[in-house]
Amino acid sequence: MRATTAASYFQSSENVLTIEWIKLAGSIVPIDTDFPPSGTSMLEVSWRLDTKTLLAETHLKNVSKIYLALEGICDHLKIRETIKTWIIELDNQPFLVEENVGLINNVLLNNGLELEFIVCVIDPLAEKNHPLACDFNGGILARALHPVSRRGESNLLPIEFIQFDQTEDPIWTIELDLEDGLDAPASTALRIQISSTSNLADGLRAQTQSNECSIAFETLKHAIQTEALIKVFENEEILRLLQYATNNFHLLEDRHWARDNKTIGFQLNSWLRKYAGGRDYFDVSEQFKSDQLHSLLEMRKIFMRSGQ
Amino acid sequence: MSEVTEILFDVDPMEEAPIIPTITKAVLIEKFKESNGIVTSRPQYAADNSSYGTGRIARPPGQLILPSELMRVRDEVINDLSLANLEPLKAMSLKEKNSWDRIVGESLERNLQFSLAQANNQEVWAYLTLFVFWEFPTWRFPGRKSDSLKYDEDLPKTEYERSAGSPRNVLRRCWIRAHVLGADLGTDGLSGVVEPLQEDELTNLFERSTLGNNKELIQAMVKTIYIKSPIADKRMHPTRRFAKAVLHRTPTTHFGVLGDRLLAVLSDIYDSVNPSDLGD
Repeated sequence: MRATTAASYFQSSENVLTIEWIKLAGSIVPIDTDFPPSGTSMLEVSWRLDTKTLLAETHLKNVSKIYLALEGICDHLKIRETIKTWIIELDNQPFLVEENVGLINNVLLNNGLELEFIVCVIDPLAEKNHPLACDFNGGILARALHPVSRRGESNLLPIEFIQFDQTEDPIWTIELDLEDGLDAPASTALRIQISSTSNLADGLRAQTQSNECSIAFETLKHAIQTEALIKVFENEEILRLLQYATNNFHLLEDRHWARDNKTIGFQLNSWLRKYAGGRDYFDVSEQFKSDQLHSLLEMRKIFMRSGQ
Repeated sequence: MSEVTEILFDVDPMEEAPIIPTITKAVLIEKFKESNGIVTSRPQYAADNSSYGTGRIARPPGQLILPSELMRVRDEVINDLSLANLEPLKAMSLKEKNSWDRIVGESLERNLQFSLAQANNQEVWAYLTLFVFWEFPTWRFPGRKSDSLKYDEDLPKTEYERSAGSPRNVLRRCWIRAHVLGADLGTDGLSGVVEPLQEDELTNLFERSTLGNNKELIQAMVKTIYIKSPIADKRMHPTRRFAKAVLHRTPTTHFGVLGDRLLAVLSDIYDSVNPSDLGD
């Protein structure tokens, strides 16, 4: 939790510090796409500080040393660290920065990283000994918080890029393991293997927000949903549990798999409800088995329409 | 615009480390209820050299750690404890409990390699506690009276937290302290007179997440405490006042830019809340 209490000295107004843009791997944030779990992405930032207004509003003299610190905060991974500081040249009005800051581990980007730009002062010197000017080292004069990834604690798609046997040559395989039950985490019940030399793999590795990447993820998501539902339709016990959860949702405890969005049961139930549209799951299953091709096409339409 | 290849953040490159299995909250509660948090012998469901254990254990994708490796880590930790005459389930004095915490933290940090994402995953710690280090909660926290506060389903809150993967988990709390401060809890390089931080002092620092998540700040705070008050006796209240004072300054002070001045600033804060005539 971040403390944000009021300061009893002059800080500057919000418009003194402007974040022009933040880019990761060449794309402007905000973004909401998983980065490849291993590897790094280049962080670029552009910001502007109105030094004249800053000094006027804080009643500090321009002989004070002003810094801008870029703080990386990833509460999920218990990390809070200053990753870069700039000394502000107070005679430059406005002070502009457009810079490649460095490489960030993708594991941070996939776990709810926030960047905070903090303007602070060292050796403060106030105009005419102004009593309410900041008079301590490290005093924060302005700050701007920018979420980089909204993923937070969500699970990554459990993708493995592998070299398939030449004779088989599939593009992907999706395994859904229901042995651990419906309360197993979705990320561990699923195993997705993708041919490392396929166009799909290239798309998934492409720059986030590119058309290639977006199409690849949509294709993969649809394939996962289809595979998962086929597996469920073949399993009467799972189907019974899902139907029961749907019919008795309001009676379930908060920690029941049908209410915990991390579980495979929650995901399956959510997809099945969308597909069944209020129909009995067993009827839908029978219909699916009797005309699988038609059902798959119908399923595709539903998922494409809903954008899920 | 210059080309920069520096990798930001001091994150250990352990993303390729073997994956540790996990269990969900439902499994945790089920196993916890079976024993009510008191485990004195190997449960039937526990891991062994050839199995991760039984009972809906999730296996995340990737190269899983071998069960035999998990057992090796367990043996190493127990062996390290026995070198300090700390035998499984034997009652411990307060001093021995402090040693137990330090040894477990250091041994886990040395023997157990996992990624940052896994190290902060509650489900990983819950698995390790219930399936690999099954008697450790009972060993370290024996016969604790339950708090009046109850977890849902009438589980005793304190005991439950020692097995669940939260920051109070019996293993996780030791590991994070060793990970951030080192095996000697930050006393390395200081005078031999300095006594390492005690349980309540560490709790005061690490359970305030704004401080606990900031490795550089917490290391400097611990150094300040050792300089100001090297002896553990009556240090808990000054430490608590200091931790609260630093926390209260975080909205207005950016400690990360202070560099060489950080220790001096922290020293002033310590003195301001702990004047010499205040007592403990």
